[in-house]
Amino acid sequence: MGKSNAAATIWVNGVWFAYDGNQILHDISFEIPRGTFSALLGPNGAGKSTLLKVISGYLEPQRGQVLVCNQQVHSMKDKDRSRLITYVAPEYRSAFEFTVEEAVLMGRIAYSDSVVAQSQRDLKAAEHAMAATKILHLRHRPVTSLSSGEQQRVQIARAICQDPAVLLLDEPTAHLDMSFEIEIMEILTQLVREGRTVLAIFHDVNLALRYASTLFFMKQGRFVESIRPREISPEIIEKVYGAKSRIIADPHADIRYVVPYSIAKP
Amino acid sequence: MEANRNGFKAKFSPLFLTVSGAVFIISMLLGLSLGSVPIPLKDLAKALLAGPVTDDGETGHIILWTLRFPRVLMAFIEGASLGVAGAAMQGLFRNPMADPYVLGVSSGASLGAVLGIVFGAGRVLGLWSLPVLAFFGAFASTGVVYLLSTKNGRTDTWTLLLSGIAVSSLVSSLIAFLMVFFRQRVEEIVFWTMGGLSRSSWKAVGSALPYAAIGMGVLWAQSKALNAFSFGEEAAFHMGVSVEKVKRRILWASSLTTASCVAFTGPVGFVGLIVPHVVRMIMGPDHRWLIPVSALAGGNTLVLADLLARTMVSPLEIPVGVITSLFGAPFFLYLLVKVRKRGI
Repeated sequence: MGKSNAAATIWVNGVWFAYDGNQILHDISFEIPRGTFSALLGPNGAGKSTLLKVISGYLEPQRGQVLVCNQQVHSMKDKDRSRLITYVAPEYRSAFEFTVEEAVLMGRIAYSDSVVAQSQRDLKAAEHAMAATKILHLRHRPVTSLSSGEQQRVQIARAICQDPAVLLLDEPTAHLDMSFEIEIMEILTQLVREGRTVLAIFHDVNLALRYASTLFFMKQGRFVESIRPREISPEIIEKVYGAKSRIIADPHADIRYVVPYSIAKP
Repeated sequence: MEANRNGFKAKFSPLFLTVSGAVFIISMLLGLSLGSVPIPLKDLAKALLAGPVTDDGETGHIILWTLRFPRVLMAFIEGASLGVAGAAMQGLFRNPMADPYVLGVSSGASLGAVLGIVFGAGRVLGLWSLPVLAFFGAFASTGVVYLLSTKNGRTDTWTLLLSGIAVSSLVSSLIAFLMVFFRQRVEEIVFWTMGGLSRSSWKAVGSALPYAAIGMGVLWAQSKALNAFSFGEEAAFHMGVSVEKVKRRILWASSLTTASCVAFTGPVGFVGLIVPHVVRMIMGPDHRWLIPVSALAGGNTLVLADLLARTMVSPLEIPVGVITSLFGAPFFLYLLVKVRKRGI
């Protein structure tokens, strides 16, 4: 189900966004190549979620441009856009007791004009998405009865079912315990291997260091730094989070980790 | 096949079609046959086969073709409309407490119709204009309730119910005003505030049906979007739903659906609340089935409720709205307790 041919690039140029008179994003510019896993990091209130929703097309910036696969997301038709790019929120609550399978199949809304029909293709896509996220055994359970980790996987499955070139995820590992966290990261890695582009917000810098190929740091609505995982340094952590830290290397893998030890003096 | 469990065929299984077809036929036959003048089944068949002949002198024929048939049809169309409008509003507001009556949409519709009547629009423009006027009343109420209760794509139950109460009271006081100014028509106006089917006629059926059909069809066409709304408007947007467009469509189509019959009968309460709720418990929340099945179940429910209204203290008649409220209001309270426990 990959999108290996599409030129899945996110290109953000000079984006400014204000909400209710508060300037939230200041002149953000960056680009993300196709088929990569990027992490968006920064302290609370840095504007990460807003930026993600600007890229997804949900929020329209006052200034600047956003291109996804060379198309302006904000002027695309809703159905066309959602076949290209989708977004997974940190938390979902369903008003009604849809089953997991029904929820995953909602990812196919953009593929059909029919009121009732669901094509064999839709059903196969849902099957594939549930298998990839390991929720096949939950398919007939009402989503309202699931744990937050399971709900998160249902929404990632819905996003996969949409078969987009670009996936945006806002803290996909929030409220998850360690094994679920790793499972979600493995799923995202697999999506990247299929040729999709993933941009996700993480709270945990170390998780991003381990799985992402590029880390983007934001602070107070501005872009601070974009680095490869091996370029992580105490200076960057102090600049972004205001914390003193040591960088240590995993002796068994080529991965570096951040160990914060005190708040930096202003 | 396992993967097909959500397919069209699985939900509309032969058993389901047989059962719902049987319930439909039985409730229609009961509605046609029973009343202050009962028509035995064998006479009923004869009268139905004879067609709309009203000059052969047989009382049963005349009653059947001029009074009871249009009345039963009106009851069915209205019940279907309210069931569908209720299902769509619950989907739009993501809230099982929404219903055209509770939200004041029905009273808004009857205000529109009453205005039409006291100012003679019905007489000048024809009966078909009443649903249109009722539609404007319903649409205004729906719009106000929506704007008051929904913020950032989320609807708070209490704000929703309170705005419904506020709109209903406002409309009631406006209707009371009209009663004072048009004393000679008080009786007629009172009829509109109660909700009854005693004034049904073929003309009314003919005027209501096209609006009801258009409204219900448009709402059904939004089924997949309504499903997506269950996860919130933002989630629906990211699934490819044109949120604002679909919302506007649901607002006007549910107003039109409600208005189509309420224009002739006045507000009939709680059908739009109970029917989708019960159907959802049996069929699941998928609007592709919920909407058509609510139409059928709502129609049957109101036919039977009206039968009760006509026969309980025959030959006197209780307005059908009183009957539905008698059953509906306790159900509403039960839902309220349940929603409160869930803490929405």
